[in-house]
Amino acid sequence: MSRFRPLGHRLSITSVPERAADLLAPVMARLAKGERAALRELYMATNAKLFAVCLRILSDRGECEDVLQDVYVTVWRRAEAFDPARASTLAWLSAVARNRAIDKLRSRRSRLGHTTLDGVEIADPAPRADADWERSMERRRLDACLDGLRAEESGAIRTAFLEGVTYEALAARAGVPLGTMKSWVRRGLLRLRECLEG
Amino acid sequence: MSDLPPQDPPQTPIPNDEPAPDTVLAAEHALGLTDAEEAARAEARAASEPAFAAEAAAWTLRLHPLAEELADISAPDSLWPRVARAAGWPEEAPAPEVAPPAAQATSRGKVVAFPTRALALWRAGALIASAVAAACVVAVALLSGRQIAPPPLLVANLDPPTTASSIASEPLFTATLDPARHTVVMSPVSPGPVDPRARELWLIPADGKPRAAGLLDVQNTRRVPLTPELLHLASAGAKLAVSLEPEGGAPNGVPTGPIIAAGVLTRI
Repeated sequence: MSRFRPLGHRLSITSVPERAADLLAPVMARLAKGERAALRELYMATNAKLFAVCLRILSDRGECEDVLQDVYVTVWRRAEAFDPARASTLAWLSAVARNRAIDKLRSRRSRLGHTTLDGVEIADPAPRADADWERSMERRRLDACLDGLRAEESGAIRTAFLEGVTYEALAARAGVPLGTMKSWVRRGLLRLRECLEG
Repeated sequence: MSDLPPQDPPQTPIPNDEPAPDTVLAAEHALGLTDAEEAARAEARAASEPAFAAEAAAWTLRLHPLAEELADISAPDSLWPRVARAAGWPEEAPAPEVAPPAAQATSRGKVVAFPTRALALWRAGALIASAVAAACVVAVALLSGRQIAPPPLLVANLDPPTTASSIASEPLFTATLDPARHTVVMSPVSPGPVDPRARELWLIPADGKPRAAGLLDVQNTRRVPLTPELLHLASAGAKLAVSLEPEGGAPNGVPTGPIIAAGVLTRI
C-alpha cells in the first residue's frame, strides 16, 4: 500500500484541518486568564454536547455528572493546555470528556470482571439523518473518507468511537470472530488515516 | 458496494499475529477497543512516549465529527453548582444575570432599591449573592435529592509489607484525603527502612495501575495536592502506596523501586 499519492488531483490538506471559526476560542482565552464568568459561559455552551457524548458511552447519568464535573474543573485549572491550533474548543472538550468516560468504563469492566454486558445492547445502525447543511466541513470530510471504507469497517469504527466498546463486544454484536473484527477495524483505521491525512 | 473501488485488494486482512503499526495501537487505545491488559500497556507507552500519546489524541480529534450526530442532552441543573464548588469557589453565587428565576424574585425588592453609595451597593450585592447561593442550595437539594454536604474524608494507614523478618506493628504513614480540598495529608509515623531514596506516593485505584501522586517527607507532615484525575480515582477501596524512588520521583510515572508501605482508603 503506497504512502505516496499523486499530487494535484485534489487540494492538499495542511496540518491544520479546515474548519469553521471556533466561536468559543475567545471564551477559552478569558478562561486562561482566570475569569470565572468564562467557565460558566463555556459550561452553558457545551454541557449538553458533552453530556450526550458521555451518556452514549456510560449510559449512567450519575457517572456522567462526575465526568463533566471533572472535565470543567480540569479546563478551569489547565486552560493553558488547550492549543487552538490543534483542535476546536468543543472537539478538545469532547475528547477530554470521552477519555474520562472510557476510563470509567474500563474501571467498571475491571470491577465487574472481564466479560461485561456491553455486547448485549444493539447499536443503532445508521447515523442520525441530519440534513447535509447541518454537517460541519470536518464531518463531511470524515464522512467522505468513511464512505471509502467497506461498510463493516466504517460501521465498527463509528460504534467504537461513539460507544467506547471493546473489540470483544463489537465482534459479539456483529456475530463474527474476534480476529475478523480486529482486521476489519485495523484495516479501516489505516485507510481512514491515509484518506484524512491526504 | 463498489461505486468507490478500494485502493488495495479487498481480501487482504492484516494478520492478527503481526504487530500492528503504532498508529493503529494508538487508535485502539484512544477508542477504548483494547482489553485491560493491552490498555495498561498502551497507557504506559502514552505516559513515556509523547509521540504515541499525541497520535492517540489525534485519533480522538479525527473522529470527533462523529459526535455531531448525537442529539444534545442537557446536564441537570444541579451540576453547575457542583462544578463551581469543585473549581474552588464554594459559596460564591453565579453572576446576577444568570441567577435562577426564584432567586431574582426573592431579591427583587433589594435590586429595585439599589442605592448608589458603594457600601449600600456592596450590601445589596451580598444579599443577592446569599439569596442566590441559598436558592442554589435549595435547588440542588430539591432537584437531585443528593447529599450536598462536602464529600466524606477518606483515611488510610500505610503499613509496611509483612515479611518473616519484620513484625509490622506501626504504619509508616497515615493518610487523610479530603476530596473537598483536593489534598491528601500524609503524616509520617515511623521512619521505615533507612534508605536515602525519595519516598513517592502512589494512588492505586480499582484498575490496579499506580498513579504518581507526589513526593513525601520522611520527617514532616506533607499536604499533597491531588489533580482532578487523581481525585476522581480516589474512592474508598482505592489503595495508597509509598515506593522508594530516585531523587525527584520515578522518571516515567511508573514505580521503579520497592513498595515500603501501603494501605486501603476507607471512609470515616
